[in-house]
Amino acid sequence: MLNSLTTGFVNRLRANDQAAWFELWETFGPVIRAQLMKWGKGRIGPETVKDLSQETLAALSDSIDRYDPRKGARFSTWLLAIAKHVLGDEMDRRGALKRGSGKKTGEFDESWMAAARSALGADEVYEAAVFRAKVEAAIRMVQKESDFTDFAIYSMRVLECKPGKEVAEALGISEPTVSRRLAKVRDVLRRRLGEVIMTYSFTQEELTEANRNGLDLNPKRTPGPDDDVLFDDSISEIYHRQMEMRRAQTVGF
Amino acid sequence: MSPSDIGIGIAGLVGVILAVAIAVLLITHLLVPLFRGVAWVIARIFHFIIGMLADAVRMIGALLAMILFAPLVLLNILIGRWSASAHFASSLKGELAIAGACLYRICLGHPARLVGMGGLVEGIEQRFPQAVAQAPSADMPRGGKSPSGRAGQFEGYKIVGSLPTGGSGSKLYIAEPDPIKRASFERGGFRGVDQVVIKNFPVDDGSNLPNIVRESRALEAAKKLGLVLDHELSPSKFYYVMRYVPGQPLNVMIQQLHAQSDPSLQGLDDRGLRSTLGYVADLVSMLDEYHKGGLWHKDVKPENIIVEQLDGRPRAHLVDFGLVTPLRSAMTLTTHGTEYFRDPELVRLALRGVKVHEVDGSKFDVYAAGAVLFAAMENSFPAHGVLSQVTRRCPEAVKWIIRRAMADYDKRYSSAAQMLADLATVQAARDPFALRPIDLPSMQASPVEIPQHQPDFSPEQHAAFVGARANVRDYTQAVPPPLPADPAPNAGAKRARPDIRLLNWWTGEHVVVPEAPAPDAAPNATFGPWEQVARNAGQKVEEAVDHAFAAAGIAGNAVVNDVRFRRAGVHLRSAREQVEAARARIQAKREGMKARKASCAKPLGRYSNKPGAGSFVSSLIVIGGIFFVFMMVKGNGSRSSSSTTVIDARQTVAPAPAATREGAMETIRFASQASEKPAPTKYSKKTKAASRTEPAPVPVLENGAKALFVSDFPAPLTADTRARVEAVVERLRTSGFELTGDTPDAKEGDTETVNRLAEARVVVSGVEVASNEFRDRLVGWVNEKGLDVVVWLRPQLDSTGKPDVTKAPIAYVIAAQQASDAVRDTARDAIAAALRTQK
Repeated sequence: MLNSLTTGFVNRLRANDQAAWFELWETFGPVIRAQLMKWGKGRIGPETVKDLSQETLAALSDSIDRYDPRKGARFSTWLLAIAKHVLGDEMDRRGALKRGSGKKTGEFDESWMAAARSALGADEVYEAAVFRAKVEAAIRMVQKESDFTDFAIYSMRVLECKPGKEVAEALGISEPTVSRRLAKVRDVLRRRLGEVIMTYSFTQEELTEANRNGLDLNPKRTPGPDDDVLFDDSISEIYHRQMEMRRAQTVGF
Repeated sequence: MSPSDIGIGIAGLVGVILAVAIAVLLITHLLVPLFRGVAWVIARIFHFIIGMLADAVRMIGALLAMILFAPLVLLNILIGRWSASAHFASSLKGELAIAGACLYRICLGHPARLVGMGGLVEGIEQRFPQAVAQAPSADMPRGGKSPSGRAGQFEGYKIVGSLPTGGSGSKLYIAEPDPIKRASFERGGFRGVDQVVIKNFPVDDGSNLPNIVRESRALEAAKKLGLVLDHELSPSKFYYVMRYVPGQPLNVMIQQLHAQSDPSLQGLDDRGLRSTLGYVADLVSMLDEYHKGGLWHKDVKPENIIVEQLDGRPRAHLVDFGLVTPLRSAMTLTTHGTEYFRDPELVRLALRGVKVHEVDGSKFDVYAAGAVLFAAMENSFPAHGVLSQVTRRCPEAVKWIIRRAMADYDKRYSSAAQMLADLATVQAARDPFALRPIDLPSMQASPVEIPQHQPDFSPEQHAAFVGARANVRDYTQAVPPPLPADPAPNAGAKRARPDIRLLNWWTGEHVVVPEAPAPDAAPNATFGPWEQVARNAGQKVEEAVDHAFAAAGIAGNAVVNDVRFRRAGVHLRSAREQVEAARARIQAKREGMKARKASCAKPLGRYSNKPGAGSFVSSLIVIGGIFFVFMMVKGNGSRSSSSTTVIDARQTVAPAPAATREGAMETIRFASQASEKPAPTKYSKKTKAASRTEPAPVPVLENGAKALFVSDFPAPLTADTRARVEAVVERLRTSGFELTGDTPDAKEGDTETVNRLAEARVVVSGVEVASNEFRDRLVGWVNEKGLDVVVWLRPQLDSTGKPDVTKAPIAYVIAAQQASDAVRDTARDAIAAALRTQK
């Protein structure tokens, strides 16, 4: 079921709002690139991955009007299908260019995808990456919204996993001040995370992903200390996984 | 149960517990690491085997492809399809590179990684290819064969090499300026410019108008700052000249520093850390100069930072001014730049259509500087943007600087100078790791003294363009002015015309009054602190001058004017002084031009009238062409009789008889004596011998031939005539002819001979001698009588039509159809030889 945020975002995309497309690219671009890199490992280079990820978004802009979430397909899955066909076209084109390869133009060969399938399966890995991308987008929003020092404290404390005492010494403030500013950013992050997930989630299943990953976004219930710790740990873990993915990309590039 | 049993039981239980505990400890501390180690080794071996097999198969495939490509290359060369041959050769080269890479990995890469020496091959696999790709090459401008051959393309520069090209379609050449250019550089305050980089935009080879327009719009500003030394912009060409900085790019230096550091440190060691901080400080210092000069680099990245060894100290230089933009430009923001080093906010603003002057572009350079610092510390890209995390060894203060530089637009350093102050503090710290973020100047409440940086350009330029604005900002400002939420409200406002105050109606002298602030405008909406101070100072000067005018009471008073303009910074000169100064300037320019022309002529040798290599080659070509034509003509003349040749007989050393063949008849005469005015002799198509300057030996017929000799000389014969006739007869007999007819030794009463002579004369009676009919009749008669040849000797006629026996006779040789050419030729040559000897 679509909410107003989701509908508004899709409408912005359909209206060719440049900012919305850039937002989509910033959020899903790295995930698409990672997936293309995994599929095309040993076959396509980093520059081709960049080109193909842009072609994927170009293809998406051509077909965004045809997207109907009521049919049950996730937006991310739909995006993945487009990326898959873009890569398939590229591989077919290369196969046709090779003389004596025995392949004709337009022949769709997915055998190369099977080789890249991991233990979880491409879809599961991809959906996990998409969820992490949403969390990263929420963190970015909070970074923009928060005071510089507040977010620096949150970053040092949660993302870099530094003890509160060390953070307090580094910044010349007291530990209670660190805790208070940390809580401030955490609250903002909870709100923004809920908004981001609502914006980029197109099915009911996607909406429950946050809870499944240890992120309690229920604003009505007052979170306790244990909930905060769990929330921070989950954010930290998701952030570090996302960093690993980006690092793998930069090695490739 | 006795107590002893209980004790034994307890001891046994304790023993069991201890044994279990020891077993658990053994498992956790020994077996688990052991199994992990075994699994690690197995994984390495597995990777090694898979890698070796894959590379072996790939190398075989590449070799097979090479075997297929090689004959295609040769075949296309043979049939002259050069483009196809080049295409296949390129493919062959690619396959060769693949095979070489596979061979390298099989021989060195995989074995080294198997034994845990992956670091050994890092230099070969990563740093070496990068250094090779970025090395200056000997590539020359299009069409150039040698550096000297392209001297005219960039006047005043001699190209000595080239650099890898960028993405703008431009070509980069290393060049040496000539003495005149060096002198002009020195006049401009740029000393010691031995080599320069010429960025050329060939319109016919990859460059397009948008690139040229973008690169040219900040040229003048960059020139003032000393970034660009020279430029030329015309419809046919566009290039600009920068100082050449020899050295390695920062990304290569970073990799080297990380490779040199102790691996156990997981990052840069102290020496590498200080070097890196020095490079980034140099970079930020240069950026500060840019920004103070009103420019924005826009493409700061490690590849554009060259580290030069200057007097033993490494110094980083920022290069590539392709995207340099004036900060006050009215252009719309563009998304140009390099991913990971470009602020994402810049892209958002560009997509919104924000103008350059509506934002503080220097902050995007600050972001890029933070990204460069991150890349230096992490040896990787800041892929996460502001969320990128430094995981390697790095002081907390440096992390803070990175975080602050890459923070959101409104929260990052307000200027490069502020970032430079933080960096300088870290550099100055004895132990950077002991320095806390709170100790950084940007976190302090007091103003900061900015370290002075030695600029690349002269002190005069520095003072002129930078010094006036330096050190007047409040670096304690925590939050810089926010970004425009919407397009700036005053974006469409037109700038007011300057207020001109006329001083003298007669001469037209005037001054431009500084613009007064608009009453409804925000005080600092457009101008910075320095501009505000300058504007206030200007107003005060104007007020003081006005007071002085009022006190003097006379408009146009010279003293007041002098005071006013001296105080306002304007020196007034009389018309005569101005004219004299203008004349002096023109004269100086003329002399300069003369000196330039004079010095251009000799040392450089350009546009010289003296014969050069080109003249020599051209001469060779012309001479060769003439010789070829001559040889062709000569060859045709000697081989073929199809052409008609005219020879002046007087050119021959000895008088030679001229022979004319018309069908089966040969006419032999001495052309030099045939008339007073020797006519050119025309040779018919079948003539073999054109002219002879030496008497050739007369051949002798092997089988002999029957000949009839007819003489038209009137009897009695004179001595000369007789001698000639006898010589001819004798020579013919010597040559193998069986001669009958009017020979001097003919017996009287030989009726057969008389009849035959009579028949011959009857056959040609009434026919003009030497005509075609004369020839045809005689040929038919000779055929009928079974003779081989008739030799008809006739005297030449004088002007009255009487025989002139003093002249050499004319001989006609009429051969039968069945007679061979040898018979005819022999008769001709024999007669010619005889007449020549009797001349």
